[in-house]
Amino acid sequence: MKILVCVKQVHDTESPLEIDGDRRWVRDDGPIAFRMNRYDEFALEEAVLIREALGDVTVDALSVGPLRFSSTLKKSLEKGAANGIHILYENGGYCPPSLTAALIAGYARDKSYDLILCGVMAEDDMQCQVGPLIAARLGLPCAVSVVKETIGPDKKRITAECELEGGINEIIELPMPCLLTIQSGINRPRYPSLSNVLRAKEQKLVTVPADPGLLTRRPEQPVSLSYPEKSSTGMVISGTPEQKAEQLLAILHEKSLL
Amino acid sequence: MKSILVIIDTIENRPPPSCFELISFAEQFAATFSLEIQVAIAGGSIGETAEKAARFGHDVIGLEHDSLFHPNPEFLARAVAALMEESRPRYVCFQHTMRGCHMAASLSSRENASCITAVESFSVSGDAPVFRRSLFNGKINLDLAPPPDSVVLTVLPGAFAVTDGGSSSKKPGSVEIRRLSGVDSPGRPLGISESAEESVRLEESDVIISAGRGIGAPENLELVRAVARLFPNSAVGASRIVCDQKWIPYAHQVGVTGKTVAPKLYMACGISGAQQHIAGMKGSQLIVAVNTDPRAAIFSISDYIIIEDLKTFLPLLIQKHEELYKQS
Repeated sequence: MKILVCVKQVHDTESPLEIDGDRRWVRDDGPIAFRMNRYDEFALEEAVLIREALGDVTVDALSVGPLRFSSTLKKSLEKGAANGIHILYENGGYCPPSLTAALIAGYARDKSYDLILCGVMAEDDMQCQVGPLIAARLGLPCAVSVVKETIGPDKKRITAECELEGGINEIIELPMPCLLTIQSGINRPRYPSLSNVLRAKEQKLVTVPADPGLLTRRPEQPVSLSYPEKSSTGMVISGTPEQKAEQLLAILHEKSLL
Repeated sequence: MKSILVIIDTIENRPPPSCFELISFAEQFAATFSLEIQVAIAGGSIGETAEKAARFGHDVIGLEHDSLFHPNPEFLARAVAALMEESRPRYVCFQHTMRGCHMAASLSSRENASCITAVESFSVSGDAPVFRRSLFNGKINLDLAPPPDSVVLTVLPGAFAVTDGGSSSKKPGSVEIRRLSGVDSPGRPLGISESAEESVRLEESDVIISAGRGIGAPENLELVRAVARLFPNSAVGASRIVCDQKWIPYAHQVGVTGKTVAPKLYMACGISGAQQHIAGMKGSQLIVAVNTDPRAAIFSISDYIIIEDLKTFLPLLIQKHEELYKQS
């Protein structure tokens, strides 16, 4: 069985996020840390768990982005992917999900993957589009926001429990090959093992040039970035921690909540 | 006249919460860009929901098929594509839910249309729209301009308030139910399950004390529980990440993917304020937030802001409460 996991590198949201000079994207220089999109970590872990359960499974990790994304692919190798594929796309700025999906689908089309896993969304642009767009391009059945999956004994079908909104889950059975987008919480992503860290150090990534011509129409265009206006009318309770506690209790008492 | 097509889907024939916000969005958008509004509602048997939607004053098409009793994004995307053949709408909009995003992706791929997701507001540039959505969970706004052809949109729940809720002031639109034919998708829905732990009655509590990532460790949840016990009819809530860490069951989760709540008091402890969390609690009557980060997004919707570490502040709150109420 062959599994493809799509991973993205995102700005660490603990870093100070600043809009770049021409207001086109978030700065990626200066004191910025990058890491793997958290949802993709769950997707990668799920692929590795499938390999451990079934044996004879190859897990490829793939990423579309500039050169710095290679560190996230190396991290994927450390976490258990067998191969790292980098579709090198040095655009900087907003990358439409339709283009990312076209590039991934273009690569995966003739590779006969049995299963493609993506994170349910990216933490930076939160579009929830790349997974189902890849599926649509490849004509694969797709389930999104998967919180549990079970591959049938014949390895021809997969049962996925999908989290909808409002605490409701839907259970769907899909024929393989198919694509799942993985929701957070499905597993506990592991730390890299020492042997995998050493292997990743030696191993070269497969680098593929991006062909933006795969997107046959003009996508949406970024106009500008801005910071949200501070709309708060809230009152900051100040003083020592003791005073703050007393003030809050007084407010809650006055409002008959205590 | 160009039009905007509103797509509302149902689960077991029930409309999802806040789906009529889509009609509010369409009304504001149509008024700005002189568009006609069409509404389509999909499900297994949705006459009742369609009548309800028609009370907003727009004509409603019901799309019925046994395969739409459960969410079936790919099937519905095909049905919407067929509907688009008839009226060539310029815009098609879905709710920004997991199913909505899946449908939007299937439809935009099928129609080779562009797709703009999680729309929070729009503005006018020349005679064209610019859509605003956010990046990094509300830390930064991104304005996107669509290309000049058909556009698929998903609209963020909570971004547009339902107007007069289909009150009697408007003449109801017509309802046309269509039984769809066609083959099902390869994916087969087997059923729906609701979250198992029903003992957590978040929606019925007057006070919810909620824990976020800022609590740092599962043992600190005890502090949050202890604060909750200070109030009558209270419950402990949590942000998604706390549930993902398995520190507390998902039944406690507040947010779009958990419960939507509106208690008398919502106290957010160490919650940064991800959009999906805020959408699930911003209707609370009084919001108190405790966080060490003065820039936490939760503060923008809070009535009272306390910049403190929970491990310092919550024990003090419990101790001061004891001093005040036990001495008398």
